[in-house]
Amino acid sequence: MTLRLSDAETSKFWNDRHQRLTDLRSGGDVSYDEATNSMFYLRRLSMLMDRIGLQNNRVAPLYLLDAGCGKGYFSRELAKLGHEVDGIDRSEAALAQCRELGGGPRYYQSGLSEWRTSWLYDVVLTVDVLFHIMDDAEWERSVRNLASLVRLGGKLIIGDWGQDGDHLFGNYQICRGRNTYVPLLEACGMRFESWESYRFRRSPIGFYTFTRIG
Amino acid sequence: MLVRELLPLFENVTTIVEVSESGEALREQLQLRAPSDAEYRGYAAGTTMEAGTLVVALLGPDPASHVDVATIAPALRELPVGGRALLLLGWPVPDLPYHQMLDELVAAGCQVLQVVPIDNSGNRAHCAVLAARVDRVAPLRGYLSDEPVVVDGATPDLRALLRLIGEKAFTDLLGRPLRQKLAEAGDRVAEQDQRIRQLEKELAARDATIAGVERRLAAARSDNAKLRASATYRVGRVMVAVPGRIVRGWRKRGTADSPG
Repeated sequence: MTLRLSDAETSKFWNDRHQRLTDLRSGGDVSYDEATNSMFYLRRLSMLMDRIGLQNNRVAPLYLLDAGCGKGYFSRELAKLGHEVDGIDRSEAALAQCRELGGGPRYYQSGLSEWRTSWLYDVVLTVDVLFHIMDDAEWERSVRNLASLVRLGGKLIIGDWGQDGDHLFGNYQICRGRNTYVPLLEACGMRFESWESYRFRRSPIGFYTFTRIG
Repeated sequence: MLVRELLPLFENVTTIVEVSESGEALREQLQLRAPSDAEYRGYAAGTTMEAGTLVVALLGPDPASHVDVATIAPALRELPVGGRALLLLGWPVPDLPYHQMLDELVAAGCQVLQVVPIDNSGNRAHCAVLAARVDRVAPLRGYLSDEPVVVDGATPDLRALLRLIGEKAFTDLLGRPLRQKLAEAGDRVAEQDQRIRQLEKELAARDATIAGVERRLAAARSDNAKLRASATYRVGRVMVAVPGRIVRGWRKRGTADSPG
C-alpha cells in the first residue's frame, strides 16, 4: 500500500516544487520539458477559452476563480481576455511570483475548501489540482466549496481523469473517477455537461464541465 | 461578442422585422449569419407576425441612430407566443437605463433570456437583449452558452427557481452597500473636481499677480538702465569719485586768502 501525503505534506511539497522548478514545469507536468509544458498549457488554455464562451468584454467582465492557480499562468492569460480573475493557492512561493508578474488577476493565499467571498463566480476552474488532494474528506469539502461558488448558469471546470473509479499515482496524486464526481456535483445542483480529454501526449486527464442549474 | 454573432443564438428564425430604421448596416450584420431563406423587412403596425419572427431594433439615446422604447412597444405586443426580440442598446453598459424597457417587455409578455455586451459597434450598440414572448416561464438559459435559444422546452424546476430567487435576494442585499459606496465615490470625485477648479482659479489669480509684478520689475529695470545711461548720473558718479582732500581743499579755498 502506497503511503499518501498528508494535507500539510502536500502543501509543503507544492511550495518546495514551485520554488525549485521552472515556471511551467513546477505547476505543469514534470515529465515534460519546459517547451512541451508550454504546448501543454496552451492546449488547456484553448480548451478553457472554449468552455468559458464568447462573453469576454472588458466593460462587463466575467468573474472567474482559478482555484489552485500555482504561478498564475491561466489566471494571467484569462485576464488578458478581459475577465476579472481571482487566483487562490496555498503556496506562498507561487503567489509571490504571481504578484511579481502582475497582469490583472488578484491573488489570495487559500486552500480550495477554505475560500470565502461575498460574490459568486461565472466560472470556477481548477486545472489539475483536485487530484493532488490526497485526503478524501478534504477533497470532497473542496469540490463542494468550489461548486457553491458558481452562480446559476455558471460553470465549474475541473481537470481530472474521465474514467470511473479512483486511481492512485505515486504518493501525491489520486484521480477520482467520473462515478465519484458526477453524483456529488449533481447533488450540489450542477449538471454534468461533458468530459473531454486533453488529447496531449497520451495524458489520461481532461476537463469536466458542469453547469449550475439549481 | 459582435452583432453578427447574435443571430445564431436564435433558433428557427423565418422573418426578421426591424422596428428601427438603421439602414443597411444592421441588416448586413444580422443577415450574415441568418438562415438563408429568412425574410428581412421593416415593421408595419398590424402586420401579422409568426412564431418564427424576430423583432430587432436599435434603442438608445441618439435619435439619429436609435429609436426609443415607446417606438418598439407595439411590435413587442404584437409578437405571438414563441416570437423573439433582439434589442441592441446604445447606452454604455454602466449607465444602462433598463427600467422602461423592462416595463415594456414585461407588459408585452416577453421574458428576458439573456443580456450580452457587444464589442466593436461604436456607439450604436453596447449590449443586446435577447427576449422571447412566452405564456409560461421559459427554461433558464446557460448564459455562457452559445447554443441557440430554445423557448418551448420544460419550464425551470423548483430548485432552479429557488436558486434564482435566492441569488437575487443576496445580490440585492450586497448590491445596496456597493451602490452606496459608488455614490459616495461619485460624491468624492465631484468634490475633488470642484476643489481642483477652485485651485485652478487661485493659480490663475497668482499667475496674474506674478505677471503684474514681473511687468513692474521690468519697468523699474528699464528706468534704472535709462538713469545709468543719463549725463547727470555719469557726472554725479565722477563727482562722487573725486578724492576727499580735493573737495575739502575746494571748500576751504576762500578761508586763508580772505582780507583781514
